[in-house]
Amino acid sequence: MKKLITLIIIISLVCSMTGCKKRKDVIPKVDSNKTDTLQEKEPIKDDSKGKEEKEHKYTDEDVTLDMTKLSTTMVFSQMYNLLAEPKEYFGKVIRIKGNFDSQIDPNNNKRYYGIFIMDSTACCTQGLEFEPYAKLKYPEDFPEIGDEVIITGEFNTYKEGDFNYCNLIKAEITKIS
Amino acid sequence: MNEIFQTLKMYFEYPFVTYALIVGVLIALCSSLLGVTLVLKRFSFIGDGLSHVAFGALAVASVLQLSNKMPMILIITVVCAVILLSTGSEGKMKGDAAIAMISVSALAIGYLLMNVFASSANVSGDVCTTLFGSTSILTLTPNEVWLCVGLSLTVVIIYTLFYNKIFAVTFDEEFAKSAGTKAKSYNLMIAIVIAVIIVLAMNLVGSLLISALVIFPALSTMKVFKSFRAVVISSAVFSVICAALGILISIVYSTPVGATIVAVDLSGFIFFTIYGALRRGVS
Repeated sequence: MKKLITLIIIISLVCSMTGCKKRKDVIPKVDSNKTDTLQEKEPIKDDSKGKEEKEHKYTDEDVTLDMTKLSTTMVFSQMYNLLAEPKEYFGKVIRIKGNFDSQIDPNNNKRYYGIFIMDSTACCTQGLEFEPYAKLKYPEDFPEIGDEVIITGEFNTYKEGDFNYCNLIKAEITKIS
Repeated sequence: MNEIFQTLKMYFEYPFVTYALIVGVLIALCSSLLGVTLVLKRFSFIGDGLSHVAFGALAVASVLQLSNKMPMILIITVVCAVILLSTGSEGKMKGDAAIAMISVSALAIGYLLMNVFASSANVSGDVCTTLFGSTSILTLTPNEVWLCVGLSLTVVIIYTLFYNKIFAVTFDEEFAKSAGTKAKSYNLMIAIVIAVIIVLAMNLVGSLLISALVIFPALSTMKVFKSFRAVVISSAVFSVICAALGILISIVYSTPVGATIVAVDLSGFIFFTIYGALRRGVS
């Protein structure tokens, strides 16, 4: 009888730790009106000089997940979650701080841009591809490889060949160092 | 301090932090329960040995490109645990030699296989993460969380139901046998449970640091408490608090999770040692 009571107490304690409660979304649902506004925005044209605006200016209110405010361990884990659960983040505006890189895929001769972050022991790296908002020229309009940058963009998934990929589209690049 | 609380409040809104705390606490609880038995039976290094076996099994599963590696790792680790532990005091090869042999062989073969049949571009990173558990606990899927919860609950129930028999087999196996207890069966059960805990604990602290989860709670509380029941209960509390604290410190200050938990365990051990010495001095 004593053992049964002890068992019930232990199971109750364990279950209370795993109990579910309604948690407010850490990533709030994207307002569809806001999304439409972002999608419809054209690069601002400076008629006087005939040059296109090279950046899309995201405000702090536009950003739904700001990873620049998280610790290295949290950023690495969140990045893993972005790639493991892409449906949760589709269409959300995400801001990430990391190191810039760019490579050409020899299979299709296409240049890709990415941002990379390391874990706390610096032995593991994760990265996310991004597409700049406006047509930028490489390398003049881009940071140097390895430069620390902040990328803000809309999370997206796409299919290329047989594989699904994740990236940030309409990305804004802010160089830090 | 207020800033730290605000940061933690923000971090708790991320589901993977909640998952990490739930699983981390449950694994720490299960490890500490069995840790008392292992320390008293002088099998403290079994955690280390079996974790190396689990690493080798992980390497084999990676080479075979299995999508779900957990079943294979569990089966191989359980088999090795049974070989090492279920013979009790009757085994021809005694505990430490058997553990050492199986441990280094599994680690070497695992690392060899991962290098020869590399399934990812960053073998060193994968090995480092598996050995030291830097962020594994923070990258659990909901299914993995439920699996860990289920297995942990099973371990706790088994320990509670068979507490008296485990106590008898731990302290005096020969007497337990002469009293009619099926010592071999209970040794087998302990071996299987330990293997399950080791495989789960790899997610929390990595292969190399698992022994800390098993040893530190028992050794720390033995400095203060004398009865078996008191040591078991206090080591469970000690382990849970240290694991939770370690996870929270690591996410706030960006330190590797496994190493931070072990550092907190070590601090607790030093505290309990000093407290125990002072208490003995006073009395």
